[in-house]
Amino acid sequence: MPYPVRVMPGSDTAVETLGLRKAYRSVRGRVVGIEGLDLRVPVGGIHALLGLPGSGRTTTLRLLTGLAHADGGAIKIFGTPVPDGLPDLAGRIGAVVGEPGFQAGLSGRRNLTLLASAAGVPRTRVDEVLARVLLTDRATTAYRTYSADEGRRLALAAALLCDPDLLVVDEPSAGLDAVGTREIREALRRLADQGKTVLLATGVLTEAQQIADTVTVLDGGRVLAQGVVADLLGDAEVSVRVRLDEPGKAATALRAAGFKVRADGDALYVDGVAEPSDVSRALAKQKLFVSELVPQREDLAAVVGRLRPVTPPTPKVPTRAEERAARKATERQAAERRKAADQRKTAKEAAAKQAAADAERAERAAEKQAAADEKAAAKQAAADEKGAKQASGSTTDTATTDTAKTGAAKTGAAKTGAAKTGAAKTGAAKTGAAKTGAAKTGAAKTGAAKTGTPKPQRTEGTR
Amino acid sequence: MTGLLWAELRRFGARPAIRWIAAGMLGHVALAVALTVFEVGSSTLARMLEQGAISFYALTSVFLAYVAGVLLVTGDAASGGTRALLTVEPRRSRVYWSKVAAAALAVLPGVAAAYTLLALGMYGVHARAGMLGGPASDLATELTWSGVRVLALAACAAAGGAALGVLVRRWWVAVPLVVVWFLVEETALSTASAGQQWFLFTNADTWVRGTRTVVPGDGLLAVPLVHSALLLLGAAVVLTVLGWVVFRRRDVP
Repeated sequence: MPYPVRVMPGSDTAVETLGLRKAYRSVRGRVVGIEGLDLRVPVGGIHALLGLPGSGRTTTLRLLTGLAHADGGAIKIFGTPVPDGLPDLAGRIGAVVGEPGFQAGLSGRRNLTLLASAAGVPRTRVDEVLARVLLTDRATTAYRTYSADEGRRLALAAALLCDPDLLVVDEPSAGLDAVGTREIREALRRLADQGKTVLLATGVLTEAQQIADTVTVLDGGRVLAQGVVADLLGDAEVSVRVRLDEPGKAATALRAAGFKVRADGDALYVDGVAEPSDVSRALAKQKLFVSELVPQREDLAAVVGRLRPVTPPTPKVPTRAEERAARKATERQAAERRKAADQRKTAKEAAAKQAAADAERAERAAEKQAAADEKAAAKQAAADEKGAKQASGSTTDTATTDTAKTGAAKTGAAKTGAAKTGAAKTGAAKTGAAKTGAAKTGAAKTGAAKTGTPKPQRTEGTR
Repeated sequence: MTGLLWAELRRFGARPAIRWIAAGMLGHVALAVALTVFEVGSSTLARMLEQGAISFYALTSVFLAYVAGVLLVTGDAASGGTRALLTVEPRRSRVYWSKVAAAALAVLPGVAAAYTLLALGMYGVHARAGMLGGPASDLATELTWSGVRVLALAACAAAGGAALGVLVRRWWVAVPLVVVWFLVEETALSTASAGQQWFLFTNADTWVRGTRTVVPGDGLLAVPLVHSALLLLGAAVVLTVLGWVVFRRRDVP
C-alpha cells in the first residue's frame, strides 16, 4: 500500500490514517465502508470512534487490526505501516473485534491458554489477566456457562494477554446489562490510567462522554469532527423538562438560582443541568413543587446532526449508467425528430406531385374544352353562312355585303379560336380548372364580340 | 508456529463435530466387520484386498477426514477463532499453514484407530473361519502398508478439506462438492475409459489398494501406485497453495 509522504509525530500519535478507503462488494452492489478517513489517535487515554450504525466504526477497527484490507490510503500504528508491518507490532496490539470465537466446551482459562500458546505468552500471564478482568472465580468453568458480561470480559482478557500498548475494542458494552456496562467501562478506564492507549468504537454517546478523553465522530465513512470530548460533545449534562402549577414564578426562581430556563407552552426547560435533582431542590426552596421532571439528554443523532457541516446542494455527478441512459435518450429524441422531418418531407413531396397531376389534368381538360369551343364556333360560322346564303337568294343587292360580312365573321371566329386556346392554356397552367373555365368564358366573350354572334350562342360556347 | 499448531489441534479436538466424525469412522468400520461375520464364507481376505473391498471401507474414513478438515476452518466458531488468532499473531501465512497442518495431523488418530479396527477385525474374522486365502505374514504386511497409505491419504484429504473450506468458507458447500464430484466420476466419467487414470477417486482407490500392475505410460507414471501418489499429492498441494493465496488476501469475516 503506498504511503503518502507526510511528517507524522511518532511520539504522541498511536494511530494515524490518511485517506483510508474501504468498500464492500456484495450482490446488492458496492457499499462504502469508509471513504477518505483521516484519523489521529493520540498516545495514552481513551479515544472513542463515535458514530451511528453504518458510519464505518467497525470497518476502521478491522482495517487497523489487519482483519480487512483497505482499498486505498495508509495506516500507521506507532509509526509502523499497517498491514505490512503488522508482524512487527505483534504483541503491541490487543483487539476485541466481533465475537471472540471461544470454544464453548472449554473453560475460560483453557481458552486463554490456547491463545497464549499461539501468541507465545507464558501461561502465568493467563491468571494475571483473568484477575485483571475479575474472572478468577469463573476461570475453570466452561465458557458456555458465561454470561454476556463475563464473555465480554474474557474477550478483554484475551486482548490483554500480550500486555498491549494499544487496545482496540469494538462496542465494549454491547449486550451488557447496567452492571456489566459499568464494570467494563471501569476496566477500560483503569487500563487507560495505566498508560495504555484504548481505542474503542461505540454508538453510545454517553459511553464516549463518560470514559473517553478524545473522540472522533464518524459519519458516512468520513471524519465529521475530531478532538477533545468536552469540546465536541459537551459534558454529560442534561436538559430537564419541568411541569408545575406556577411556571412563571418557577422560571423566576430558577433564573435567580442560576439556571438557564426557557418556557415552551406550560412546560419549562432547564438546560445544562449537571444533576436534575438540583432543579427540584431549587424549586422546593421557593415552596414550588414539580408535577413532572424529565431529564432529557442530547442523543447521538442530534450530535451528528449538529456537527454535520451544512453544505449547499451540489449538482449530483451522474453515474456511468445514468450518463449512458441520458445519451441514449438524446439519441432516441434525435432519431424521432429525424423521422418526423422525413415524414413531413415525404408528405410535402406527395402533395407537390398531387398538385402537378391536378394541373396536368386541368390543362388537358382546358385543351379539350378549347377544341370543343372551336368546333362549336366553326359550326356556328357554318350555320351563319348557310343562313346568309338563304338570305342572298331573296335579296341580290344585299348579298354582296352579307357575304363580305360572313367572311369577316369567319376570319374573326378562326382568330378567336386560336386566341381562346392560348388564353385557356395560360389560365389553366396558372390557376387550375376553375380559372380555366373563367378564361374560356372570357375568350368566348371576346370571340363573340368580334364575330358579332348573339348572346345565347356565347353562353353555349362557355358551357 | 508450534504454539499455533498446538492451539489449533486443541481447538480441533474440542469441537463436538469432530468427535462425532471420529465416532462415525469407528462405527462405520465396526459395522463393516460385523457384516463380514455373516458372509465370511463368500470371499477370502486376500481376495477382498485384491478386489478393493477393504479399500472401499478405508476410503469412507478418508472422506470423513476430509469433512473434519473442512469443519476446522468453517463455521462461526472457526471464524471467531481465526479472528482471535490473527489479533495475537498477525502473520497470516503462519496461521493458515498451522490450520492446514493441524487438520492433517488431527485426523490421523481417528483414521488410524478406524483402520486398525477394520484390519484386525477383518483378519480375525477370516482367520477364525480359515478364509485368509494366503500366507498370514503376507496378508499382515499388506494390511499394514495399506493402513499407512490410508493414513497418508487421510492427511492429504484433511489438508485439502481445510484449504477448500478456506476457499468456499461454508462447510455445506465444501462437503457436497466432493460428494457430487464422486458421483460424477462414478457415473458420467467412468464410461469414458480414456483418461480414467487421472480421476481423483480412481487414483485414491488405486493408492489404497496398492496396485502395482504396470500400465501404458512412461517412467514413474507407468507404475499405478506412484502415479496415484503423485496425482493425489499434486492435487492436495495445488489446493492448499490456492487456499493460502486466498487466505492472505481475503478479509476475515
